[in-house]
Amino acid sequence: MLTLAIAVLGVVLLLVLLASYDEASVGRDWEAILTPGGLRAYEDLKDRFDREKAAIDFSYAKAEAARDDGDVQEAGRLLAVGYDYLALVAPDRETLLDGLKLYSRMCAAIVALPPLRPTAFRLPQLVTLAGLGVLGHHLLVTIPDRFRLRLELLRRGLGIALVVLLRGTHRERGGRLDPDWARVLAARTDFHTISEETIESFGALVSALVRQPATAAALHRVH
Amino acid sequence: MTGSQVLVANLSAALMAAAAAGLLARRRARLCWSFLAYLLAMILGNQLAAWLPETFHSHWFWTAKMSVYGALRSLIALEIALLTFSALPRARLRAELVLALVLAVSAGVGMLATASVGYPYLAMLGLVAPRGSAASLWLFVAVLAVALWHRAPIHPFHRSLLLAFTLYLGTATGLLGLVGLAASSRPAYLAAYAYLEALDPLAFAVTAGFWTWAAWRREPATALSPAVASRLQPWAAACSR
Repeated sequence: MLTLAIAVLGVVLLLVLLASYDEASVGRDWEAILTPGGLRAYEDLKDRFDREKAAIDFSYAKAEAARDDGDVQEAGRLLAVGYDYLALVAPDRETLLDGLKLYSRMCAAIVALPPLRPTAFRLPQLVTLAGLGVLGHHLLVTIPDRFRLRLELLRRGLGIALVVLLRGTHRERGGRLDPDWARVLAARTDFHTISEETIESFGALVSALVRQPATAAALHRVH
Repeated sequence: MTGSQVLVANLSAALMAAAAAGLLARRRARLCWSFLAYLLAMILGNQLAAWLPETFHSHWFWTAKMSVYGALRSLIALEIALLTFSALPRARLRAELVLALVLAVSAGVGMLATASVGYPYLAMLGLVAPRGSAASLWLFVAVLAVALWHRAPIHPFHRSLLLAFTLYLGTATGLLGLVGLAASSRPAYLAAYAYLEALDPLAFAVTAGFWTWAAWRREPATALSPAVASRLQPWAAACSR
């Protein structure tokens, strides 16, 4: 009876796995990896993150200036604009982190990256998350597993920073908008730290993919 | 053997011969040499029993051929894994570890089964053969799972083999398992054995038909560009389209 059950489970699992195999998607991913596009993508991503950082800082600097001038309403409005922009770019970053996790399974060896440092963050939640990450980093054995843990922490950290920004920006007291400036600015700084760590992870993955024998041969052929 | 059994056996042998010819004509044998060996072993094993039943339609021969088929199926899974992960060393290492684990567990369970039943043929029919088929299924599951995890492209011919083996081994294991369950009562055993004798060759003939189609069909369009395919699947380059 047990043999039958194991066999049925095997059949079902095999059929599910065969059905979930998406040849077109796999093909697209390998096409992206086995071309020099990876290196260009790294430079493009760095440029884009720099532009977004400048836009975010501009909005928050204006909000701080308005607060210092005593214009609380304008400061609150500018903070909300800054948050809206962050909320706009955040899904892209989540997608990027998910994509990195997927690509990390396809390359042979990834550069060993250090764990996220708790001292690099300001929000207590992110300090705790990074601290747990350090623990997990030492418990995991392989570099790709550590890399995926790092990406997962960055993804969760991104979500936490956004929630803190949302709550801090839209905090009301006595029916009036009263942003929690300390937490908002800490969350913004942490958002930038997460961006920098994301770029570093992306760079490690790109260099791993470029060092992959198949990729190296493809690059050599193209250049 | 009855007339209908001989007819179905001959039909299956003809289909397998056509599949083997297709593999050679379309230069697909290199996609899985052990599958070609499996087809030839099946043709030989089935036809010996059909043509010389007084010698080969026997318990010892059935036991021997089931053992050979099981070993060849394991080789097929191993060869598909080695080819699929040939350019991906980390995935290949993981696949080898998983396959070794499945084989070790299957061997252990198989030996336990043989030790628990006094009569070797009954142990083979009711316990070892279904467990061997289930082990083959799990070897294919392991290869496919590692390929999906590492996003390794699977050659269309290998996918056809996996699908056909899944459906056939699922049916065969179910029928053999029924025989094993009914082994304690002679009437129930005879009834279950009658189902096995009637349905298993039919299921196998359908599978052989599918293999023939897979061996002869034109190469389906693949999502990999020639440049990428030549890096990840260099062994497929010389196949006829």
